[in-house]
Amino acid sequence: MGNGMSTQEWIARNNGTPGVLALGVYTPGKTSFIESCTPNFVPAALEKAWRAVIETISVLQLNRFPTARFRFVYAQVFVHCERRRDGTCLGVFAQRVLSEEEIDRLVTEFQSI
Amino acid sequence: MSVKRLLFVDDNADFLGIVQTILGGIVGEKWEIYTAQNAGMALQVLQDNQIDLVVVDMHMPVVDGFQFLALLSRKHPNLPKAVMTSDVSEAHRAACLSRGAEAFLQKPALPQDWQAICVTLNDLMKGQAEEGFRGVLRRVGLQDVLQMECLSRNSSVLEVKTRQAQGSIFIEGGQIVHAEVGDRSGEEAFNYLMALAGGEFNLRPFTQPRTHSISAQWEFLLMEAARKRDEDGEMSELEPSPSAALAAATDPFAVPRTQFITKAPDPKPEDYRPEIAEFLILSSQADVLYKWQCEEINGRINFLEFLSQRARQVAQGLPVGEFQRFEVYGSKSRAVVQVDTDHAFLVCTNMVPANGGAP
Repeated sequence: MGNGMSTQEWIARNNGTPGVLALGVYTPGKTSFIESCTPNFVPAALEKAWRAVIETISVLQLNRFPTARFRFVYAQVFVHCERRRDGTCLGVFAQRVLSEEEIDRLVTEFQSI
Repeated sequence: MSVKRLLFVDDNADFLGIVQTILGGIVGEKWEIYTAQNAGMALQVLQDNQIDLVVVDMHMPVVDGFQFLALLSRKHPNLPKAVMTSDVSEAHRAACLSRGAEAFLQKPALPQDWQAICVTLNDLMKGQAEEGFRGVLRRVGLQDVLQMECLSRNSSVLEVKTRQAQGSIFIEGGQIVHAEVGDRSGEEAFNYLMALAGGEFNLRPFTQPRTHSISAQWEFLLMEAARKRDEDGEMSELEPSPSAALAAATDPFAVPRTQFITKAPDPKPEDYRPEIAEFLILSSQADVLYKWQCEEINGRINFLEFLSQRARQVAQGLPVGEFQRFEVYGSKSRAVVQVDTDHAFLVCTNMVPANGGAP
């Protein structure tokens, strides 16, 4: 990685990863992007969910919690968020069966874009 | 389709006029738009009408948007709230969201921007009437309760009880007329009570005090008390107060305070073990059922309330199942939050050296 691939290209490349339901990226410049990887996640609902996730970052900071990595866990799905040093945040909506190794792979790739 | 009722609270009358003209023009008769130029007027509108959403400006005299959000959270915990301001910053945004606002919006600069605002406000009104974990009383401070009583022109007696002292503040027709604690009375007693940390307070019906020892306006009294408290706070940051030191020495559960570490090199897992740094359990009414090394109770309650809202919003319209927990990972720390309909808890842990040495 680190080959000039854009974030959206990276998301498009990983759309279809088994167990991954949606991928989103939020940049400090207040631009955000979320792409559904399954018909069950309709864009309007997904965008609202992504906005709610993003808002969590500043409230974590306000409460002096780390923001490098956090996760909402639901019965069937988890939302894993990982922030790079430049503040850009990756969000992975994934089935609970998705392995930690696969999350680590996505995060490692994302860190090097 | 039922008519939605919105209340805009802003000290700028020109802006409220713009809201009525432009937003009213967009939504027609679907929404009834109410306006108020201060918190007192807003409380009156809320009392007289079934409002579906309140939109609050951040900078207002006497009671600002932050304080008003706290008041609303106590008196109308299920009412959706949004902040609309020209002063947009990440810090303000976080502060408003964590005080119960469900949206933080920038005031539109152009008439056409109101269309997007309209969509957002409509969404907020659709998603109202959330159930479950809600802070009711303990999430607001003594100052908030006094403001609410004075703004509403109520008559009541506010009893304040802490480890150190027990006292009363008498409010008659929205004015603070007397305060007493121990041998103190008047403004001295009022300032003393306002400076007490923690404790409990209780509102009871008004009874005539033995004397009327306070004549200053309540706004002045609150500002003066806040100023004195800040001054004392600066001192206490330099040196723990004797009473705090005594409390720590006599508390059987007192242990050395563990800092919640946010930045440190990655440890090797085998060299470290988790140690609980903070533990808090709340009831569904935000009563503290158990706390351990939790210093900023109100902040934590706001935080749990915020997470409860956002966890619900994430799940709205997505097949994700029931919310189970929220996890935060630091390089040498971790926090877990669980929010159910009948309780909420927060556990923070730090990774400490397994051999017992300093991290």
